[in-house]
Amino acid sequence: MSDDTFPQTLAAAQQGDEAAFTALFRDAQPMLLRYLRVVAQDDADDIAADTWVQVVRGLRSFKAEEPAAFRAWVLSIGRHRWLDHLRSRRRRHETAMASVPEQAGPVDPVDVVYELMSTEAALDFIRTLPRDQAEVVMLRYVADLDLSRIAELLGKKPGAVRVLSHRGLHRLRAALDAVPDQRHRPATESASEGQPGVAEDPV
Amino acid sequence: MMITELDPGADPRLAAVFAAASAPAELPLAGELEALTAYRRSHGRSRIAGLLGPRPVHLVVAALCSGVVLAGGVATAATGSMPIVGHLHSAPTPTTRSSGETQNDDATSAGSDRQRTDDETDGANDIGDSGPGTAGHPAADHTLGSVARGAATCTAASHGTCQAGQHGKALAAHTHRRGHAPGAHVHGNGRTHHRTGHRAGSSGLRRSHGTTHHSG
Repeated sequence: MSDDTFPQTLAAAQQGDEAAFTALFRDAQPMLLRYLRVVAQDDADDIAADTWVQVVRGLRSFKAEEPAAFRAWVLSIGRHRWLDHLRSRRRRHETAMASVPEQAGPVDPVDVVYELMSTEAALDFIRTLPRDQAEVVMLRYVADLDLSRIAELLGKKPGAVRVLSHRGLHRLRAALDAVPDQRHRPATESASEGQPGVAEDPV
Repeated sequence: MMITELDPGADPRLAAVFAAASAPAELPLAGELEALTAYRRSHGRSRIAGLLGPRPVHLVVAALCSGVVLAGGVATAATGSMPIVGHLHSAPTPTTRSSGETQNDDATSAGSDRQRTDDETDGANDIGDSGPGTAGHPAADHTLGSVARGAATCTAASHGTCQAGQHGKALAAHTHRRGHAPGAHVHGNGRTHHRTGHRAGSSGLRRSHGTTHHSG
């Protein structure tokens, strides 16, 4: 959705135009769902559904001039729903924080880099980051929000968001650098030409 | 030390990761149907609310007001203050009195309250305050014939002035004593009823009940 058409689309959705609402949904839902899959994993779908119920409720009073603001609003609601979800799980004496992927499952960066890069594999790779870094990386480089919006969304200072982003990227790069050379050496040279990491390989 | 953001574009591997993570999603998106359902439900409800606007408040107020009016009407009718078709006998209502009675009231103002109390008490036992279905009402006396019941009802309701069914009979039951105020009748119990507005107009029957005074 372009910045030019967004105000009209939002106004139409607020007036009951289903097509306009669908356009807004399709613009924001992928980012919301991927963000929630990083931070909430298996509960992402349920939380996203709750998020849209709340978005619908507040859509009439929402005002924005650009789609990034709408995405930020939706992500903010989604994050709050996720936190509510965590609190409710804690109340049920579940180890909610243990399920939060501080270090997610055994994702091999080699698979991420040298095998078919799917969206799910990329999200799994980002999920290996500490939660706060993964959040910032997702919001910054996947949802494409600027630092000020992220800071507002997370309730942090822009400097703190910048630090988290820096650390998250550094950690991801370190994970990619740790890929053993022999793992990708058997790969065909033709196949590895498009892979930047392989192109720099002295072998 | 100033920490600057790393540029993921500087590392093509990171750029590839983020490109994959933000790749366009395939339609239909998960949850689209649920979101549309919530949207339709919310917007349909708000549309109805918009059509009604403040009217629900008006409806509630109108319903309350009409309920109060209805309840008041029923309560007023129950007290007998309002004439009801087919129910001619009701509670006594104040009427104008004759000058003689006014004097009598003035002279015996101390006892007037007691007299009125007696009158009200008597009126409670009066046929006018009990319907045809109540015990003791002549209409409920099935030992009488229909004509006799009608006559008895009329006589009792009019305190003996009704002559229905008594054509050709002497008015022995209603002796007008001379020396009493006009309209005074002596009944078998020796009580004298003073009435004003006796048979005055079509509603005289009800009025005569309300202005009865007892003495003796």
